[in-house]
Amino acid sequence: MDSLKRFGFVDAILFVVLLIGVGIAWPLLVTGPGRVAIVYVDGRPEAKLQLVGQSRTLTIQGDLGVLVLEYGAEGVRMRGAPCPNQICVHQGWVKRAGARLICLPSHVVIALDGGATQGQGMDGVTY
Amino acid sequence: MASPTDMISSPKPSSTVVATCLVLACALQLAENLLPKIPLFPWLKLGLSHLLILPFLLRYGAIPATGLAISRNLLTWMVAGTPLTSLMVGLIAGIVSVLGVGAIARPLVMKGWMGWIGLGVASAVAHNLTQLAVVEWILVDHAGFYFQIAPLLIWSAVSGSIMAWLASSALPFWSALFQGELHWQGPSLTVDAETASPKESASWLFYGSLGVLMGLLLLPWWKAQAVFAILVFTQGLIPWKKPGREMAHRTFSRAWRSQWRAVKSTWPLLLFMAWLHLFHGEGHLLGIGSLTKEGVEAFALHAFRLVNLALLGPRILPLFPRSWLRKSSSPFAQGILAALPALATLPTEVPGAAREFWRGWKKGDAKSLSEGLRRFAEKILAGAVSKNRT
Repeated sequence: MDSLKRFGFVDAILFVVLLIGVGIAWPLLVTGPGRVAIVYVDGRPEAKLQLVGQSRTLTIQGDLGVLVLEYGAEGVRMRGAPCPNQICVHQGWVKRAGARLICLPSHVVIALDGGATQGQGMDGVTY
Repeated sequence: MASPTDMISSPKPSSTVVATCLVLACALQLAENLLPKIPLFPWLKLGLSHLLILPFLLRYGAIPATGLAISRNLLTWMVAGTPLTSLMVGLIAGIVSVLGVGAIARPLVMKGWMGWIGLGVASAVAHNLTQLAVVEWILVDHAGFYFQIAPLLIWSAVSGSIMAWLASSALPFWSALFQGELHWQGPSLTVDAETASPKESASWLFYGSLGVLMGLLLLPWWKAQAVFAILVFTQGLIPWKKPGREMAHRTFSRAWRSQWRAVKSTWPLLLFMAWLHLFHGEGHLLGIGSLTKEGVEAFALHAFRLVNLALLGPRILPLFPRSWLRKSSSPFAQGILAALPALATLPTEVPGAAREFWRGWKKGDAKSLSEGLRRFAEKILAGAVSKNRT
């Protein structure tokens, strides 16, 4: 084992890869598992979504019918809605803290990062 | 002393070398337990036993080194009664970090493209990340648990580098160890086949327990897990041998303490589960703070599952069919059997040997790490042999 090196060039590459890995994973430590979206139906908080991990879906019963929500580490998006204009669907992924996804005809609001809890959120939804 | 070419060849380890390495690996693991732990992250360890596994990997190859890592995990479970969850996680992480990384990294080290430090760091990264993934997958089941990735990577780089540097500073010791110069000086430590395991005939109980274990891991209903936990806990408190009243009381209180100890050992993970599932769970809001129905149910499921595994571990332990080991011609099976009696004395021998090593290191009595390790190993092995003679 005397002939074996203590540090080789692959080690240097490994440390660079590790450094990049730490950089990529650092936001997980800073934000923790705290990034959430709250689903309001008719102004009432109905569900809480964790914006971590792989994308998954949630179906919501709105006033007009069933809405399909996709959420995960990428943020939240409305994948399907029964409303005629499909504005919320066309909005695409929303991931910024404080952002809202709103489906007015269905009376459904999705607020990111839990900034709006019951009594602190919007007063009402009109359309 | 082995020449460099000897050290990078791949001979098969003898059962004596395996037994010696197993005792030393377990001693290093016990010595590590003497070091203070990081609050809330008790699983962040230096990995002192990798001090031995790394040179073993370079000397004998990835498959024998994996055999050593698996045997060490089995031994510490059989002797020290480590929790079943630690055994499961340790086995999977050991296979990935030693077999997976070893198979790729060893040829690179042999060619001189990679050094000891890279091998140590790669192994530590694989070990720690696999542990994290297995714990998240089997026990916690919350993607938020991955928030630890960045600190784990940093810790792996530090601990892997330290272990690799220390291992590469003790080459004469590894040569002596692998050439069998440190083997038992006393009588054969092979276990008496007749007395090895009194419950050998009941090995079907072991298979049944493994089935129950699989069931627990797959059972997705928290109420079923809760009922099982209550049954196992209360069943453990019943004095089945019908002792007298005073004896029954003593048996009950001893059983209560041991069961409580098993449950208590799970507290760091329970705390993480509560934090993740109760405060960062998702689902339908219950109207009590940010608690969700699904979050509470997920916490109950995973907490009861963890408690069940903690309670089940000590029950499966005596049922382990040691005849498997006796029938095998593998040096690892024979090494485990040979090391078993020596391990009984380790908990009393290791603190003294570790203190002596540390004092020698500080005073400069041990001129090199090799010499310090040699003294440590000789003290451990001498203690094991003399106590087993008596």
